[in-house]
Amino acid sequence: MNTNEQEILLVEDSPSDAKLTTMALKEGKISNKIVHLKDGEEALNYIFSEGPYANRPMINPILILLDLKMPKVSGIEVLRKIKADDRTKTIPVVVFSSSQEDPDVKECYALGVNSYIVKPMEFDEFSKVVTDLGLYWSLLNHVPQNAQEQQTTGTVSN
Amino acid sequence: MIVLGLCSTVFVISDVNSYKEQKVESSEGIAQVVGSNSISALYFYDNETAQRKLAELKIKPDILNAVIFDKQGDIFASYTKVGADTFLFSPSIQKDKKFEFAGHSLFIYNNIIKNNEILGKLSLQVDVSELNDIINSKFRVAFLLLILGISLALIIAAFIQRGISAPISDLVNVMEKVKESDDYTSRSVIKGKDEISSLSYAFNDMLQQIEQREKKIKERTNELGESEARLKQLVETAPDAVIVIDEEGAITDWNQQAETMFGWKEAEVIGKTLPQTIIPERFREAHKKGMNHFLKTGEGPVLNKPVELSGLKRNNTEFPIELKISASKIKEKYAFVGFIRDITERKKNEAKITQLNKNLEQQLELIENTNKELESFSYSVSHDLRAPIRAINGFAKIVEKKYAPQFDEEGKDLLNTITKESIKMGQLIDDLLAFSRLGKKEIEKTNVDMTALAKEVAEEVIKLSQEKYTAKVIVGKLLPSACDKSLIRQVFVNLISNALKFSHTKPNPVIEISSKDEKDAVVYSVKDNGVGFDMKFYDKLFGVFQRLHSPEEFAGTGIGLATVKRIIIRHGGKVWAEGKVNEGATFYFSLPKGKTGIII
Repeated sequence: MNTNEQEILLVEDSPSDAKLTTMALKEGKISNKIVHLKDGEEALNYIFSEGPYANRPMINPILILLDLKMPKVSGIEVLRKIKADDRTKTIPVVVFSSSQEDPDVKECYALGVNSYIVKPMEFDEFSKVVTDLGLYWSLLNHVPQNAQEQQTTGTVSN
Repeated sequence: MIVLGLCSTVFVISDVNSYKEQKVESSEGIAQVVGSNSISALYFYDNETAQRKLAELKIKPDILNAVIFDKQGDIFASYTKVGADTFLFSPSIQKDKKFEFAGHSLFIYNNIIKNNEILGKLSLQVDVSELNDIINSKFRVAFLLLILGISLALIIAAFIQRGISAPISDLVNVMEKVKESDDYTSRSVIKGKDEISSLSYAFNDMLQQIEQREKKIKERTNELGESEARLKQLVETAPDAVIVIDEEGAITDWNQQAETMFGWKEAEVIGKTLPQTIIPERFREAHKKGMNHFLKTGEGPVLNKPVELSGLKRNNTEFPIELKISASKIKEKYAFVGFIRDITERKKNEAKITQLNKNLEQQLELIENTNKELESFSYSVSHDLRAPIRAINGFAKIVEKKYAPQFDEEGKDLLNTITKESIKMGQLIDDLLAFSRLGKKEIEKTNVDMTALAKEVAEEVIKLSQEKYTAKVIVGKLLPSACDKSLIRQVFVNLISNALKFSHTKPNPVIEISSKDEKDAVVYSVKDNGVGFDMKFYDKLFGVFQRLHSPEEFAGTGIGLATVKRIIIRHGGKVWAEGKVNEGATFYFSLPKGKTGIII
């Protein structure tokens, strides 16, 4: 299995955070392709191969790192859509938030988030968390078979 | 008395008669004896013998004269009692009569018969003068008897009167008295055990019963009168207008308050109907229908509960009233009692209260909005302030790692400062967020072993300081408390950290933690012998971001004591402190004695 073909989606409106995350993943020797999507709307279009991404074969990413507070469509909304759709609900979604506010945590878990991580303020810690995340979800974790099939066959049902 | 007199007279007369009969009989006997003795003398015309035979009559002193007549009617022989007057008998007068009484004498006429031949006649004059004496004496006796009888009758009458008439007349007197005076306390005097006494007993019993009944009636009447007076007073002085109407809708009662409330005098409205007086025009039809409906069916949906309506004053102004009507049946007819209250003021107040409530609701909404804004503010702070700091810190670190060899010492130092400051900034934001969350958090009170908690915290803080703090921490035996363990733990963390921080520059730093039992609370204290503080800055001690020392002197965000204060206040306790520059400080907090449980 070529890990390069297995994408990690980074849904993040802050360019700095996106850059830091990307650099941290690189530093952690995560070789997967990292796709940065700048807000919820773009993320949904990409995931469901809609709008500007209509031509993209709908291949589920290996992991979605999702920020919550974003313009247009919020992270919660993206999470809801992903987890409500049979085609996408098996994609591991890790909320990677700046917020420690309880309602967010509860709501995310209610919607079926796979993990909820508060971005550490300090870079060394931040870097370690991101690296661990990337390694865990891309190498250690196994997704269900049908999800694998979907990923490999690239079934599009629109 | 008359009977008695008659009886006496009859008695006397019969007595006289029997005397007369006896006298006639005995005298006739004498006459016959003398006559028969004289037969032979007459037969032989022997006057002398006849004279002798007559003379024998002297033994009968009551015979005054005796004469024998011969056939021819000539006197044959005669006798006259010595000393008596000679009576000259006439032979002719003695034809049929055998005797007769005349004056004081009894005259006997007796034929002397021999062989059915009348030989002669004998006439006797008998002295009956004693008859008068007898009559007199008899009358006297009769009179005496009469007197005696009358006396006896009177005595008996008196006796009988005492036994019968007296009680009866007493009874009658009492009856008269009772009749005249209505005084049922009188009693008939009872003597003996006869029927009259029984009657008196019965009468007395009756009187007693009547008296008791009378008494009861009086009491009841008094009570009724009093209760009526009370009721009237009650109705008159009632705070409500009280109006009574009859089945026809005519007003029968109208109290003082009704007069004041509606402006109509009682005398003006009695007999009138409510629509004519106090019901505004638009309700009049409903009032009539309602009454008719009730009288027909007995259903009155507005009865016996307060109803808010409009009343009409005499001057034609309407005002809000609260009306409570009750219907009661008196002598088969309904009377409707209405209690009416002027609720103008109440309505005004209600309007005021409604307005106030509305204002309050608006205020509350405002507060809620503010709270929401604050929440979203802290959310924003946690998100948006952290992100750039993370970036600053992150990129500074990356620069440091990647380009360190190209930096000189000063450059490295400046880069290091950027990193450190960004971390401090992050800490500040985290503290502030934690502090703001405290206001929303539930307080879950459990029984906490404060000694163990304080010791644990002290050890932990010292350990975390990585041998920076070397103070001797003395934890006394602390009184337990019902409190939120995690929050009070935070209090100890903040206070002990402060104590260690502000005393570690001193030689032999000592920290003492103790507790004291107050009346309603337990007071805990954390005392150090550190740098202390000036009491004139006391006001700033527990404020957010207030610091009494520069960060160069002592690190900190200025939020620790504010957090302590907030936690203790949420527990219902107090915080305060004492200090002196360079002589240490003591921080106190009190926790109220109370039950375990959750405070929201």
